[in-house]
Amino acid sequence: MLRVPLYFSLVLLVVVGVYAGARELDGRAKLRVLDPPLAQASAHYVVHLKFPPERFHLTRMQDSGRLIEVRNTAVYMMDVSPAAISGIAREYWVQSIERWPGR
Amino acid sequence: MRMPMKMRVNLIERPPMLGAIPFIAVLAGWWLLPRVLDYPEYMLPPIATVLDLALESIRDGSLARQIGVSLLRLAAGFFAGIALAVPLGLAIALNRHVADIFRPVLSFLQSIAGIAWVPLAIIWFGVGVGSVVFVIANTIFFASIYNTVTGVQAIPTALHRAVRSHGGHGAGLLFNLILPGALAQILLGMRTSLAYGWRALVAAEMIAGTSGLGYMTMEAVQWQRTETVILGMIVIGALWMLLDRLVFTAIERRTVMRWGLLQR
Amino acid sequence: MNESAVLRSPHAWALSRKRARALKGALGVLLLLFLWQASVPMVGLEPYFYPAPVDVARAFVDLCAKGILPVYIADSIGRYAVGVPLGAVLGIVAGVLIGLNRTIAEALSPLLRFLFAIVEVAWIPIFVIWFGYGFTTILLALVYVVFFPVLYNTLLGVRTAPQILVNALRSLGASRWQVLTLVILPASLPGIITGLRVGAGFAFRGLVFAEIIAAKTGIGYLIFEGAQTQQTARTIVGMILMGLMWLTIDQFYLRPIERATVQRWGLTVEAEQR
Repeated sequence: MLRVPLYFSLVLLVVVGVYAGARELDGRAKLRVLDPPLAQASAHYVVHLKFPPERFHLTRMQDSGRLIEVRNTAVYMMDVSPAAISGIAREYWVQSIERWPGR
Repeated sequence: MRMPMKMRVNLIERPPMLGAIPFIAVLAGWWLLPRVLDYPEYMLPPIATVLDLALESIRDGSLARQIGVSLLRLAAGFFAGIALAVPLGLAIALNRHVADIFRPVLSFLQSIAGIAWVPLAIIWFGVGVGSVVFVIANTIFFASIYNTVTGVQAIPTALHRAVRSHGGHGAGLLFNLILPGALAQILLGMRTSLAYGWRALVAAEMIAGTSGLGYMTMEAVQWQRTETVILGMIVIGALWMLLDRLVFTAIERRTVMRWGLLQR
Repeated sequence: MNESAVLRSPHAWALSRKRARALKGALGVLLLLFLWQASVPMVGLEPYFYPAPVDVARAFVDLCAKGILPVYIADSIGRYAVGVPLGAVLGIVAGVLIGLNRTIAEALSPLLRFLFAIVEVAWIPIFVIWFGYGFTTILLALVYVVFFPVLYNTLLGVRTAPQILVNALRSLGASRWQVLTLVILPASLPGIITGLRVGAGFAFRGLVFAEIIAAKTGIGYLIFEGAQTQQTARTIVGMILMGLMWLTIDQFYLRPIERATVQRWGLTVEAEQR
């Protein structure tokens, strides 16, 4: 009977694994179109969402870099590390990412 | 037979003072701590501060007032919940098909009853007594109704048939079979629902209250009055011990002693 | 079970008992949803006061699309999945250690009883003072509320283990460890599982409360945030999810484990059958 919790946990792990894998691929695709491409240093990015961001998303952004401005569905950030922008790229509610010169 | 949640070890052979030793140890440690360690006072106020606060709030009646207010709300919510749940539960449980239809829904609602309703209650009743009593009543209602329905359904079919074959039906069936048969489960359910209801009281007062023990304890966090927090905790603990003991003995008297050992 | 003696219907189309009950249960859910939706125009209040099922459904889709829900669910489950087993393990260890010595058990029991009477809800304020808001406070509350029921039941089990078996094993030269694992623990297991079930239930409610007070993510926080921002449909999504999560935990973890221990050790303690 302990099979039930075990199998269920396994199924959950598999689902989470697949989900994580899909996120990784999606994130890499979004970063591939960056021009110039992703480098070692921190840079400035505009994150385009599919909708106007809520507190939840802005908090997420604030943990990744300097939040400068929010224009409708675009979030302008500066000094974002490569690791941080990779993390943001993985989120499925992010439509696209591009660079901007900053302010 | 369900294992009792509280342990009742008979202390007949040992002196009762044995149980007091850990308390004395804790109090001694508390008294000693500020003298050996250096830490900010708001983390753990010295035992004297808490005692002073306790005495003062007893003397000026403020503690009694908080306790009274909380207990009143608990009573109101408890009786409102039971008064609605037991008749409704019995009505649902009388027909086996109706009971089967509603039991999963009731089980589901019972799992979210209480604290999860506090934000909704605030929208409906605002911050204050209304929300607190509503949340308590909500908790007790769903816990009791589920217990009533399962209690009636657990009455052995053989007994049902026996009573019916002797010509019992309607009101006679209700009072001679259903109520006594389900009563044990209902009363036992009352103890658990009271446990949830008590937690709901404290929690609701902390979030949506303007007075009472929960409110008093949570509000003190804002002002870093840790001595009030500690006093609140001790009073909450002592009160629950009293309440549970009262309810438990009341139930035991009516069930175990009236009908012998509970049969499951 | 009482129903086994009932005659099965001879008709070919008759559903099995279990399936019939499942259908009736589903009917109940649908009935509730229908009544709820129908009552909305009757109550005639704004959606933030009395949202309709369609509003709730829409809010659910919205929360998923915006990536909020997966994170909140994951955070809640994470806290629960760490706190409950931790509390259980600590409870078992403490129960065994205390239970092995009768004097210690009897001395500590009033203090333990008092501490548990201070419900976990009442510990949150001081945890906030000590550890601030966030994961530690929530975790501690969960560990606390699972610890005590498991401790009591372990203690009870250890103290009431069949002495005959203990003596028999001892006379065969078994070590203390062997006596523990072969007799005492198995004998206390059903009780421990019951304690775990009680603790898990309290812990679930406690989690929601702790998240309302001390968290920025999670289902409890969702319930709170929805009401705060006048998005009551989100609150209801949170409440329904809460019920579904408990259903999952109970059906896939708690009950199977309970059934497994009772069946495996063949003890006469019957699990509640529902």
